[in-house]
Amino acid sequence: MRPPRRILIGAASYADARAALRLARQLAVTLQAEVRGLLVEEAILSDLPRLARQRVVTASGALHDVPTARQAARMIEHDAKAFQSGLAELSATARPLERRRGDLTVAMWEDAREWDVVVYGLREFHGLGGRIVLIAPAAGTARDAADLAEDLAWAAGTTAIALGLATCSDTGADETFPDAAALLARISRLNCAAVVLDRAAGPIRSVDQLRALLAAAHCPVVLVGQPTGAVALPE
Amino acid sequence: MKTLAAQDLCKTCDPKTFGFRSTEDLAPFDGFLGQERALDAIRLSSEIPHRDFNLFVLGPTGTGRHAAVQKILSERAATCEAPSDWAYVNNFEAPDRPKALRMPTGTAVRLRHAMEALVDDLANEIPALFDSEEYQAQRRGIEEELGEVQEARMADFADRAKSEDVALLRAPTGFMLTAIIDGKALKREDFEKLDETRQAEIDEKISRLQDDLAAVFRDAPKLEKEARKRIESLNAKMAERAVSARIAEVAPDLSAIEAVASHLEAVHADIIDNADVFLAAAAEKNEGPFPGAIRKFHQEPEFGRYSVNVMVSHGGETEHGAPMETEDLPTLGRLTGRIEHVSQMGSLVTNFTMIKPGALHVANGGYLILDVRRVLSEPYAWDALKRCLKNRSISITSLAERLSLVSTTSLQPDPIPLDVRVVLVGDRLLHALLTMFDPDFGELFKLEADFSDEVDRDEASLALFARIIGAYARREKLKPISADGIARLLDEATRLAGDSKKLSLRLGALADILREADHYAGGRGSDLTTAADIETAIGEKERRAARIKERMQEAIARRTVLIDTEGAKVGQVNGLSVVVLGDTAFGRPSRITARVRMGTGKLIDIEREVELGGPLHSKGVMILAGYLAATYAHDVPFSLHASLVFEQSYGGVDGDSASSAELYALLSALSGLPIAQGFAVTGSVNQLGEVQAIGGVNEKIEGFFDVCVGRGLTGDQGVLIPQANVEHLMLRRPVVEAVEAGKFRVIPVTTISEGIETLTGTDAGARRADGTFTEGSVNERVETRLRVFAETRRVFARSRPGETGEGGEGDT
Repeated sequence: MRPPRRILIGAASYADARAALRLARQLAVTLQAEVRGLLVEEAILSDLPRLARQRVVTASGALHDVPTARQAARMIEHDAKAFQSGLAELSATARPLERRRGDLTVAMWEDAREWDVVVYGLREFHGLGGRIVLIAPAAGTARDAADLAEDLAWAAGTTAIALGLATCSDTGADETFPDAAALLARISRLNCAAVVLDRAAGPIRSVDQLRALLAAAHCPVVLVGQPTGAVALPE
Repeated sequence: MKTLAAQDLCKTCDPKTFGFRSTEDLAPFDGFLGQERALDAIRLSSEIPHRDFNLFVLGPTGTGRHAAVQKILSERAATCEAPSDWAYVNNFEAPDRPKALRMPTGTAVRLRHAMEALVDDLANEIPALFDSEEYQAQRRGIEEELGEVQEARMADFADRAKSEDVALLRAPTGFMLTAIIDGKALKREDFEKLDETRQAEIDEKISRLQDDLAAVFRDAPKLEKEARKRIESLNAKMAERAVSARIAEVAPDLSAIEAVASHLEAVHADIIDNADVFLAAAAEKNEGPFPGAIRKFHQEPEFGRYSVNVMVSHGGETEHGAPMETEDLPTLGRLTGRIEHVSQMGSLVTNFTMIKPGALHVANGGYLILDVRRVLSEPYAWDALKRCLKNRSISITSLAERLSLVSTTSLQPDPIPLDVRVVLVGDRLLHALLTMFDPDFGELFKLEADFSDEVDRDEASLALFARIIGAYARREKLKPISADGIARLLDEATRLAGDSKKLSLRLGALADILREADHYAGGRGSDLTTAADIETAIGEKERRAARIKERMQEAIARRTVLIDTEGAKVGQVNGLSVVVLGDTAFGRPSRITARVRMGTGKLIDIEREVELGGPLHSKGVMILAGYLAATYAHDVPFSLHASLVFEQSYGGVDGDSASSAELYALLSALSGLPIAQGFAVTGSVNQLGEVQAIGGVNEKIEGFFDVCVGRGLTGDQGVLIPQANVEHLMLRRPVVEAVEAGKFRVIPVTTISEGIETLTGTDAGARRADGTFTEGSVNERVETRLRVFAETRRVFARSRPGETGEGGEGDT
């Protein structure tokens, strides 16, 4: 595999970015890559209904009031600085953090074409390390993704497990599932440290499919390869 | 006038009576002569098991104190069992209180090596164990199992939320829930278009699900804690296998020692609790200069906690019996041990490995020999020694702590029980001072070994002394000494004793003469040291120290210092004194004069008046004054005014050895009879007129003899000495030869009357039945003079009514 040299780390907050930065640290060392960060302020959060009992649930299980616009703005500024510092620690050649407002999933999907590896930052729900999950290709081979999953597993002192669709043949999957929903359901209950897949090899080929994966993963998601035309997944 | 013959002036050994040609013919003798009292005390101290029978060895230097102690104690020590080994180890529960381990002889070093090997082995095995796939798989299993529990809870919640059309969104500080309509998150404007009931419904389910989500998150730490516990338990189980196996390999004989077994148990538990230390050390394995396989992990600071600090170990190949130690520099630290510190980040830190043993540790179970002067000279050393002996344990205190100079918390190691016999070596003065002023001394040092200065001179002691000298010469690889050399050396030993019936036991001084004589013998190419070499050595030694003596003699010869050796003078006599410089002494004559007149009974000791006379000298003058007052003119008031002085003496006078000379001068002044200046006098007098023994008689005679020789002997010169000092005479050869030739005399006297007759050539006179002295005698003239003074005074007093006389009532 030609070592990828460009890594994009995207997150909607520093809490999410931190998990991705840890992962990217290993990637940058292994691949001697150029790193860039993208902080996307999720627009949906400022457009939510004003419910009387709406709260923010913290990772420790506390219920806090929803921040005001000003408070939210300060928080995102703080996150941006922290994210930038994290990038600088990661690589001397890290480019300045890019900031946007919108939908992280869409923004990353669109920018993915320019980058060799794209890491979606998603915070973990607990401190118990898990396995590296490789989503086996829908067709053909995905050596880059498989090699990357093995590298990440070795660096984290864990193992890699390949999950695939039963409809896809010869993918080398450890577990197969009848459809995407079953596969995503399995991922949602697995203790994962990261999910790795090849955009070109599939089976995730659309933003919606990616969004579903992100909702199920509870950990950073790593995409390698360039996306091709969308391939519908059997539902 | 009785004069001593030449043979009375110096006792000499006849080498022909020895029965050997040289010391090569003598059987060696490495014992001691004449010190039975002291040797018995040393033996008792070495053998008696009871505590506090420590020993003080006292006596002058050069009498063989140290050699005797070393010999007797080493012989005794060789028959005793070697004592236990002692070591300090870490107290894992209280590191500031290191534990003392007592072990059989010779095991402490083995234990130390065993612990070092244990650490090195485990430093390799524990990391390997934790790197193993077996451990990693078990650990991953725990994390995955518990992680999946949390993931399942989260997934269940997500499913529940989805079933109620609620989605989970990520916010910067946590998570938010929002309703979903037609697969999309409900926006504000769409929500506001809904009716109130629907809004309330959404609000309620969002609130409920928020609580559920919070509960799920609150469970995560519990799972993490459970995972940690199970991993710790796994770690302990993994470490236990390696540690148990390695500890079981520690030599069975070491493990059988109760104290060691107990320590190994503590080590076992601590290693399991601190397995991460071994893992961390392994992580640095490849960063050092040596490959991990041969790296000595036990030398790393983090493993110091398992080391064994051997304080004292016996029973090596060359060690047998009880220890016998000498400490030449008995500071507090070198005596009782010390705790060292190192500076870390500006603080002083220490641990059990920095405890260093002192002489008491090394000698524990045996004998410790100390020079008492050195112990007393070192701050707090004596106090610490006594404390350890009293408490029967060794407690380590630093000088800084005693002086309250540091407030750093230091260690409080277990005190080590002390069972030692201490032998102090010192002089008599220190022994007397300690006995008088230190109440602890008598309790702790119940035995004294008093070394004599001298031994009786008889055939047996002379023979034994010869063997001792021969043995010394062999030991020091000196030439053998001829029989005449031995004879000369023995005579010198008598001279050093200052008594013809004794031999000095200051063997150091004799050894110095012998070694110097050996040098001279070698210089003339001889393979034997003879009497001539001994004589040369003695002469050269005296010559080296004779500068001041010769200056004094020169001053006398040049009449800078006035001393008469011919003619006769009234009220003037040659007294004699000894000047002591270091280890040499020489005699020196001094002119003593007396002047008399009528007075009120006052005898002025000019030396005392100007504070140049010491108390003993003053006492002598008072005694002779008492003699005068009691001997003459009892029926009239004592009407004498007299003054006595050592002419040209500016350096202070003490002792009463010149009191007879002073009395002779007074009697001469009173009687008007001149004293022959060819004589010098020494001897103290009592109130009965008896002449008593003095010290330094040989040097005094030789001092006056040298003056007379310088001016030419007339045959009328000599020295009056107390009869009691005759047996102390060991005069040098020139004096003896002069006496033999009739050119000098040594005259013993027992009473003042004998002496005054010799000095004045006039009968002293005896008191007759009528109370008067023999007419024309010295005593008669003295008494007559005193009566004249008394009468003159009476007449004078009558002619001047109201006056009591010159100076009031005086006393002598």
